[in-house]
Amino acid sequence: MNGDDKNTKKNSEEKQEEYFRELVSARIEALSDDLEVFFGDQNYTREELVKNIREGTELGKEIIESQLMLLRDMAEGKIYEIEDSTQLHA
Amino acid sequence: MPKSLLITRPDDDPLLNALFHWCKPIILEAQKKQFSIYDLSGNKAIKTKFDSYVSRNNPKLIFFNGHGSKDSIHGYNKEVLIDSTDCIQLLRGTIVYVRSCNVGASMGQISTKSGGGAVAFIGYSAKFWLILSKSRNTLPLLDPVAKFFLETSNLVPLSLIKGNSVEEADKKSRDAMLRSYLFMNSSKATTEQRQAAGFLYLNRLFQVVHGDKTARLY
Repeated sequence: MNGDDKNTKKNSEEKQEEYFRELVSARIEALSDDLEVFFGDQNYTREELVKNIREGTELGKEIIESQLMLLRDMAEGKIYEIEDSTQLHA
Repeated sequence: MPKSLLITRPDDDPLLNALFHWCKPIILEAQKKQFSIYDLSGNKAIKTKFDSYVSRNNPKLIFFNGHGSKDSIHGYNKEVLIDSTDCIQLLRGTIVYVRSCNVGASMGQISTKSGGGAVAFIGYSAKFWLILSKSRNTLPLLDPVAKFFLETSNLVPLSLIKGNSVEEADKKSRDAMLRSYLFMNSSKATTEQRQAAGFLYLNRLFQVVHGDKTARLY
């Protein structure tokens, strides 16, 4: 791989990371004011979660990774893999 | 062999307070099934009491609620109740369910791998998500969002108390999480329930079992 290819790949990865950051941030920002989010040992406001995501902290990376797992399972239809999906919660 | 449950449920922050209250259905069910119940609630969830209760009462089911890490489970004021250095000894012969973050990743393996520690261990290999409704903070059992997270995780100890195997208890809980997730995304759900659905699904993804999946309390 020559230098140009490496730069192109790096740019592409950075763009993808940026896209994921924005995607997950948008999901978090959409949360209602009435919801209190506990993740790990403490609670976070929407703004704190989004700040961590945008600044690329370990917490932010962990949130992005977990949200991407959810999106992957949605895309692959795994969320519908249940024997009796008719018995929805009342 | 007498049926016995040891439960730890500190209550010194809002998350723990919710877990504390949602343990009540477990205690009620254990009473119905005539379990001996050792309840380390609130500020009783400390190391000295935990060690003492384990050695004196030899509980068959231990249900931890609290904060945790890969190597430790915490009680009141984040005091370490058990860690990877003493988990084999303290959990010997027990079925364990840990409702806290990350503990399923490392301690779950350590405490079951030698065959001399816990019989089985159910926990979470990543951080546990919990979404609460601020407007119901004073009434955790009536929280219309938290109930999906805590009713479904409660199914692990409830199923074990009812005599199900570890594998069955895990499956009932995970199936309930998926049903709840689907409900929360349906038109019957509130906006807040819909927004919280994805976080519940993550708890399902990270719920793990170590040890003997066929084990049961009786």
